[in-house]
Amino acid sequence: MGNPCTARGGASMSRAALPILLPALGALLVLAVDLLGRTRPVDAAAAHRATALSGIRLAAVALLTLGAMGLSLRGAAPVAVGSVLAVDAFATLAILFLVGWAFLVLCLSLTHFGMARSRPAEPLALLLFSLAGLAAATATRDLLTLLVALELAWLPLVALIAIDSRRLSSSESSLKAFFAHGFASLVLAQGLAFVFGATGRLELDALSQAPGQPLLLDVGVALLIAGLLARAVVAPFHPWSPDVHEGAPSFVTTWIATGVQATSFFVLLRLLHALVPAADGDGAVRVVARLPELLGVLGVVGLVWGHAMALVQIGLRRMVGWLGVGQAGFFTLALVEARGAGGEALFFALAAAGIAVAGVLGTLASLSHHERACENVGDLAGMAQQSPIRAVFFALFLLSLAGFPGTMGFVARLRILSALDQGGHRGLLLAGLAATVLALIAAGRPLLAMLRPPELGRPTSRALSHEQLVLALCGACILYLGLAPLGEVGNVASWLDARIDLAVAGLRD
Amino acid sequence: MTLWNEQVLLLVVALPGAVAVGIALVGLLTSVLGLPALPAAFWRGVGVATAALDFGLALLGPLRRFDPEQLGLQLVARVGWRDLEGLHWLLGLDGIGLCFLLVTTALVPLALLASRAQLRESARTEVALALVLETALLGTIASANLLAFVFFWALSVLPILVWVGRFGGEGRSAAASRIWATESLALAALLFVVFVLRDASVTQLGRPVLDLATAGPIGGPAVPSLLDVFIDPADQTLLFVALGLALALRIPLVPLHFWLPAVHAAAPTPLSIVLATGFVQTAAIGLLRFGLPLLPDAARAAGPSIAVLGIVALVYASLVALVQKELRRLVAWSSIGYAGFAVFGIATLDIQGITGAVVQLVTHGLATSALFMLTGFLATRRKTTEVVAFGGLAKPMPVCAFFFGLMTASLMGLPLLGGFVGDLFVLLGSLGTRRELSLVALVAMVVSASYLLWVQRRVFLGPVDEPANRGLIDLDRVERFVMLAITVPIVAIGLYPNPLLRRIEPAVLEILYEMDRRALPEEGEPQDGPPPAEEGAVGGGVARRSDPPRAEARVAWAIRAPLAGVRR
Repeated sequence: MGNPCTARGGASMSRAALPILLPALGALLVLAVDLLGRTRPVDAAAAHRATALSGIRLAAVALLTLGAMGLSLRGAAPVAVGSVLAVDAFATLAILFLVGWAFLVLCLSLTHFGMARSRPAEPLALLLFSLAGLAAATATRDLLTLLVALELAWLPLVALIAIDSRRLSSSESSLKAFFAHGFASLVLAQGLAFVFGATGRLELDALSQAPGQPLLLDVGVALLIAGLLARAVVAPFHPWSPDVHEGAPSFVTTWIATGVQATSFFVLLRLLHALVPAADGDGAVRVVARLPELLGVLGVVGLVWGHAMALVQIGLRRMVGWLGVGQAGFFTLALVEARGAGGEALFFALAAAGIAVAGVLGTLASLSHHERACENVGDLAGMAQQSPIRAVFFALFLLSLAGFPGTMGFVARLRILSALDQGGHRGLLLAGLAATVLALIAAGRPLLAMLRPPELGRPTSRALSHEQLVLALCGACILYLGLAPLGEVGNVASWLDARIDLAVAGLRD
Repeated sequence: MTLWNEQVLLLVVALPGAVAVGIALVGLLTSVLGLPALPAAFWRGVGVATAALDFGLALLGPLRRFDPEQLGLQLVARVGWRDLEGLHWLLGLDGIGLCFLLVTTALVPLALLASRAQLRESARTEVALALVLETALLGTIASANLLAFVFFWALSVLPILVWVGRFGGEGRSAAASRIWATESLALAALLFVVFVLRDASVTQLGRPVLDLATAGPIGGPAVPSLLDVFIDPADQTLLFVALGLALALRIPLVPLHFWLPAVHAAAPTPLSIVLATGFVQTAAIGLLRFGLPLLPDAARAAGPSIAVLGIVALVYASLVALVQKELRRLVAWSSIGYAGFAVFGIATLDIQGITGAVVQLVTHGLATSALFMLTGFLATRRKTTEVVAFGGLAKPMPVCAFFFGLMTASLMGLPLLGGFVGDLFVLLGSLGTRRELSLVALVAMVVSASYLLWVQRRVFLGPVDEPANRGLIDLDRVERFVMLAITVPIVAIGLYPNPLLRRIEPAVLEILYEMDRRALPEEGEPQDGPPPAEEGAVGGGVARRSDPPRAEARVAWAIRAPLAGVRR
């Protein structure tokens, strides 16, 4: 890949910064269009029409922004923007993932427009601001910029969680997320301060190069990693997540479970690659030598805790939240082998889990229109009869989340566990397999609930067209990327593999 | 013609699944376009025709093309060349797989025919589920790649889950939960085996290999395979425990049988039939194709314990069956008992014992299926399967009574019927290696005969006490045809078992040869370097790669094997 830090003049710098700037610009544009397009409706029907029209207009702006982001990533050279941001191959792929997830979230957010009191501009602008922050975080090479980028991502997110003003639980979960974010930021800032105190620098490269004061650096690195793990919903920093899943609207939780969680792992992967060479040297950062063990323990705790709690949940959204905690445990296990095959496996696993969670939450959103809430496992009764196609998709998403053979989730688990096995971590392999059993049993509960006869007087609601799009996209991805590695039809899958290899290889360089 | 030879096995495996996908698409189109739903009889016809066609293909392809004189896997079909962690869609059959394949393909159309009274409102979905299940089971039976085996294994669980959970009888949710939890555990255990073997193959061969070597033709170049991977004894024990757990859960072996009676009680008849045959056979294939050849030392060490477990299963299931008051549960317990006996046969690690176990799985699978079907016929007519509700049915239903008696006689192991051959071979095999246990097995067989005789007497003999039983109509033409179709092979095997034995014994020899070849040398034997080819029985796996072509060594070993004379 070469060194991505080479600045190539103002034009290329601004082009390189486009993927990060575009969503912020898009958010401002959304707000401007909303402001300029406001009319004074004469009656309720006109008000409804105006809101719908405004929603379509604003969604189109957001969609164009995402499209422009995607295009700006095409052929982007690895150019540094100053010394703090570098849209290298790793950041390009990470941002591409973020754009994909943002598209799914955008589709799901359309359902929300007709249901809440908020104006369509608010969730869209907040989502785009959050996307800008996350994109910056994946590209950052400087710890202070990382802190700012995460603030930019999380503050809109906290507001997004509270967007459903009709529900008290939405506000409550927003407050919890705010405290969790505050805690994580505090720890990260402390870590940053310690690292600065030890080395006098804040670049990621400084971690592996500056000898500094080992103890201060040790504490600093530990705090940095803890601050990132807390945002990544890794146990024991996870308690806010199931509550947020229960309280926040579906599209927001989808964003948290995909883009937000994944970004934390992207940053962790970059950080670990920046750290690990030091372990081979004179022991400049001693805590690094113990990192695999620490991450392994945290991963196993998350796996067992998350999946075991998912087993006993009655609420569907809480169950998905707990399954997310378990998934985070898997991702943490991949970090144990970050220098081996774990990096590539982590990328694929993040994609797999993100798509599956988006599908699950999209299905739940489509089942919860009008008066028919679908909140508990028991509410799924009759789904196989009343909405067989959605039932098949829902089953597919759940099975992928649990790692059932033939799905993308299985390939992801296979890769992570293979990486662990290659690294000689047989204990972690066993823990991963045990957690797979728990995940399968947990996923089996809603599956079985769908097969039960329908309750009388509980009509099912039809999926809206944008929800159908999300389900079809997610379902196709899960089946294609689950089965393509086994046959001769894997061109896109090969392309994805190659991009992932390239991205992680860039980190190693 | 070449394509036919190469891909016929793939066709047999994939056809039912492809038709099931077609059925689902037609259903989707019908609902989207708002067309009137097709009648249940049409879907039943499609199901029976597809399954019958598949059986026909199995007869024309695998059976005709299979060469009993040839050792190793035959009709090998490979789909795609990409490689995910060692996974290939590699299919192949040895004599054992061929027998199981034929039984499964034969039983599915018969099961659908026999259950036509039950397949009504939901015929389309149930037929599609049956066909998917058939593909999954056939794929498991024919897999020559460990990860492909696991894939098909997992695929077979989904249709069962939906079938029981959606269309089952009373207690279906609990039954579906149990089978799901059980199979999840089994799947994880199998995946552990995959990971460890994959890791060993990467270390020793430089890339993940999960294929079986025997895919190559005799005299052809040696293809690196799992059989070339040396697995150290500590790992072998661990792997054998994991594999054994998965297989014991599926067979199921007492005390891991907790899911089966509940599932049989809730399952529709065709599913019960498939569970009692194909499901058990997939587990047996797992042990015979992967467990014994790959983990010979662990298998030998665990042999006595497994034999004891098998006998315990037979005794326990027979005793529990004695106190059952419901016919379906009784047959389910009977199937647990006979599966235990088959495991006992395999655990003898003797050519006769294993051959007997395979024959037993074939014949008892057929007989148990017939009993499930007869129970289904009675349930359709009488709306109950409680034993107390019946009595003296031989008068109103003589044909039904005849077939019931014939099937129970085969299960009891009466001479001239198929069951006798399997039981005899298992006992002969066990006399050589597990003499004490063979006596216990003999007693257990008497106990199992007692409950079969009891149920025969209680249901079919004596006076017709219940007025509702007097007017019962005997089996109709279709039901008689189904019963006859099952009776013919049972009687044929009882009278002339040679065609079956000719196909099974080379496969068993092959398994025992691989076990000997890969086993660690006994103390005092030289460990370095390969032994001479004519001795070719012992030694570590990796060292064996420099052996002369394996096929020749196999033949040499088979001729010299002390028990080879039994084949004639």
